[in-house]
Formats: sequence, structure tokens, C-alpha cells
Amino acid sequence: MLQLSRRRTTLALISGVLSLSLAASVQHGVADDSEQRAAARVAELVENGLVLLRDTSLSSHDRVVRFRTLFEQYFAVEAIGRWVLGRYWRQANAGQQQEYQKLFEQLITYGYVKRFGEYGGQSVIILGTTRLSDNTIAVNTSVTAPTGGQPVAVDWRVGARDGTYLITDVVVANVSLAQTWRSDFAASIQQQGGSIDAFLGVLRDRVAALRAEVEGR
Amino acid sequence: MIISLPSPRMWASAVTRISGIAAVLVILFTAACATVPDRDADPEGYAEFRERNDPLEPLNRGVFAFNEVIDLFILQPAAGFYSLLVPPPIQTGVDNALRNLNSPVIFINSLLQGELERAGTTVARFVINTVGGVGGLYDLAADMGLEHQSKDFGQTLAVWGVPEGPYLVLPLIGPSNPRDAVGRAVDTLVFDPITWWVRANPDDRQQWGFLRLGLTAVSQRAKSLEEIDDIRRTSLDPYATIRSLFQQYRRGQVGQGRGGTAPGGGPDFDDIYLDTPPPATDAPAR
Repeated sequence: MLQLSRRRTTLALISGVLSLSLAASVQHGVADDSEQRAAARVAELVENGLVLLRDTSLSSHDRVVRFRTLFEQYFAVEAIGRWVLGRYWRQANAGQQQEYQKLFEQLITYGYVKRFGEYGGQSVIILGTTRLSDNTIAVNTSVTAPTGGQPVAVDWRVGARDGTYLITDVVVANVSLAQTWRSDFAASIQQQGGSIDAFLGVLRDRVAALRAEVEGR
Repeated sequence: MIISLPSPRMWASAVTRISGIAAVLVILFTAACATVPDRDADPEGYAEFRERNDPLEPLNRGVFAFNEVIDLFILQPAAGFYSLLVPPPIQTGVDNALRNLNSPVIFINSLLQGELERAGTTVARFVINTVGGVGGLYDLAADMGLEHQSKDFGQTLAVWGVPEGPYLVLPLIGPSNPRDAVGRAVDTLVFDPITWWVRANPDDRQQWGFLRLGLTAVSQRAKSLEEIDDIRRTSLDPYATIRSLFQQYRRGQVGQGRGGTAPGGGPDFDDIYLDTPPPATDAPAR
């Protein structure tokens, strides 16, 4: 079967113990100022995510709110949403675009927040950065489970422009989350005979189901 | 039956022939199965079709549905029990032992890919873990800095320049493509000494072959219980999500086989900003 076990580290996306070597390795493997800031941004997200993860006193509602806050603060949510919808974004009218963006954010929030309960004490080490283009920097990290085993490469793509640093994709063992969503959505739209409205209906139902699951506990 | 190992070149030509036959079959199936968007009238649709690389989609979806049923009724419950009832250290031991048994296949493929150092590491690991790690149950070699190497014949074919071909969902096996399907067959039927050992005396040894197969399936499945569950829960079209995951992950592994870091399947994010006015501000508007 397909070996998806490496995706386990998507949990570590926000979980993870920053090792002491972090500050040193950030300075070591990073070339210029913007790359350093991108790495600092990722380090900050990992740290904040960890605080949220360890806080077991939160109600599921508060957990959702705080997850969403982090997501909005560190990720280029709207840009990702647009890219994920791809060519269908341009086919959608303004109202559909607006509803889609709302549902996309909710899908991610309710879909991923459950994984917070599955945190197993992974540690994240920032290895360095790679400049992918003028505006995109990959922050290369390595995630290790506390039980040992081989570390998994997690790359955080950070879009840097006009002094703003936002994460645009997370690539786990070469699997891009944005690309995966994009394939999923394109296939779903096709299953709906190319109808954006029908697709939004599917998305709405899925969000409602995930939301009920999260808030029902 | 005596088989001498053919040279890489012979393999390559045999494989090219097989791929040729596969390609003909694919064309026949394509005519029967999938609708290709018109290149001129719908260039974006055509590009998307190419990116999916799944001309046999209707057939593949059928096999996928079949596999899902088998998984839901047999494999997933078995893996669930395994994960629940077998203590984690024993699970790790099982993983290590199964990996150790796979060492000959990894060794041969490392050689065929010209990775002598990795081949050496694999031999060292096999000896250390079989002797010092109680028949491979404990991965002593990893403690000594000799990490597990993963190599298979599908990867070897990729290194030799054989293209992956269209996406395929194989019954019971799952996501694949012609290159990996051939790779898996060669690894299992030709390279694996255990297959030869079983074949030499099937009446007495067959059950060991099945035991290994069953354990491999269950222990592998047990590792992705939550992940598969998440995919079923959150994706709108699990078939498409798994296809995308497989293609990206496998291309990454093959890139490793070539000794380079493959670029991710992801977007060029400069595009993201070009679409419409910059969305990115420190506090994105809701």
C-alpha cells in the first residue's frame, strides 16, 4: 500500500519542540536578511503552535479560534485558496469566490484542528533556507518523532514581499499540501460536471460535517 | 529453473519492450475510457488532463472502489487490532525484521543504480542486524549511524531513464504506474531470495511466504491508520487526493534515487501574487 506514514509529520507542522540548536542553525545555514526573517517566521509559528498544542485546558471552541488565528497570522490564506482553486477561480463570480474563500479556510481549520489531539512530542529542527525565486524562500526543517525513526524533511515555502512574510505551502517528504488540495478540488469540480455551484455545495456539506465532529466533542 | 542475472542493458531493453506493450494497451484503453479535453478549444483543461496523468481514470476508479471495500472490511480492521493489541516495541521489532528480510532487494537495486556506498551500507546493516540485532528484530546498525536505505526496482528503472507512465491503481496493491508495477514484480519474483527459497519447496515453506506478506500488509497499513482516516474525512475526492499524494511522494523518492533533491510538486508561488492584488498583509483581511 501507499506509504503515507510520512504524512504523520503534518501534525508536526504545528507541533514540535524547538531544539536548543535552533538559534545557532538558523544563523548558520541562512544567507541573507530576508531568508533569516523567513526562518524566524517559521520558528515563531512552530513555537506558537506548540504552546497551543500543549494547552489541554482549552475547550474545542477556543482551540478552533486559536488555530484559525495562527493560520491567518502566518499563512497567505487567501492566496493559497486562490491557487488551490486554480483556473476555476477565474471562472467563479465574485459571490462564489467569496463563499469559496470562507469555506476553504473553514475546511482547513476544522479538518486539521482534530490532529492537535494526536501530538506525540515531535521535535522540529531548522536546517537552513533555500531561495526558490525572488519572492519565495523555502525554510528547510527536519522533524523527528520522539520514538526515533528517520527524520522527515518538511519544507515551509515562505512568500516574502514588501516586508511581509507569509507561508504559502508546506511540503512534507516532497508532498505539497497546496498541490494535494488543488488536485482534490479540481477532481471534485469535474465530478460535479464543472459546476462551481455544485462544488460549493459539496464543500459546504463537508465543512458542516467536520465542524459538527469538532464541536460535538 | 536456473536464471542468470541479465545485464542492466538487457533489462532496459526488456523493460522498454514491456513499456511499449503497455503503451499500446494504454492507447486502447484511453480510447475506450477517458475523455481528453481538446487541446485548442480548452488548453487549460488539456493541461490539467496532462498534469493528472490518469488517462485510465474510469477504470482506476473502479479498482480503487474495490480496494476501498477490501480495506474497510479486512485490512483496516486487521491493522487496527494490530496497532491496538501489539505493544509498540514489538511493532518496531516486526518492522525491523521485515526490513531486514528485504535487504537483498535493496542491495541489488543499489548496485544497479550504481550506488556502491549504499550497497555497502546495506550489506553491513544486514550482517550487523541479523547477528547483533537478534535476526533483525533490533536495528542495531541505525544506532551505529548506518541508516536504512530504501531502494526498489521501480526506482532503478527511473534512474535508467524509463518514464513512469500513466497512473494505475492495481487490485489489492493500490496506487502505482507501469514502471512501479514492473519494478514490484521484478523485486518480488526475481530479486527476492525468499521467493526462490519458497519456490524450491513450496509445500513446506509457502506458509512463511504468506505470513511475511500478511505481516507486511498489516504493519504497513497500521502506520497510516490516522492519515488514511484523515484523507477520507477531509478530502472531497479521496481518489484524487491519494493519486496526487502517490505521484508527488514517489517522484520525490525517485529524485532521491538520482542523488538530487527533486523539486516539490507544488506551485511556483510567485504566481500566487500575480493573480490579483497582493493578498498578503500582516493581518489578512477576513
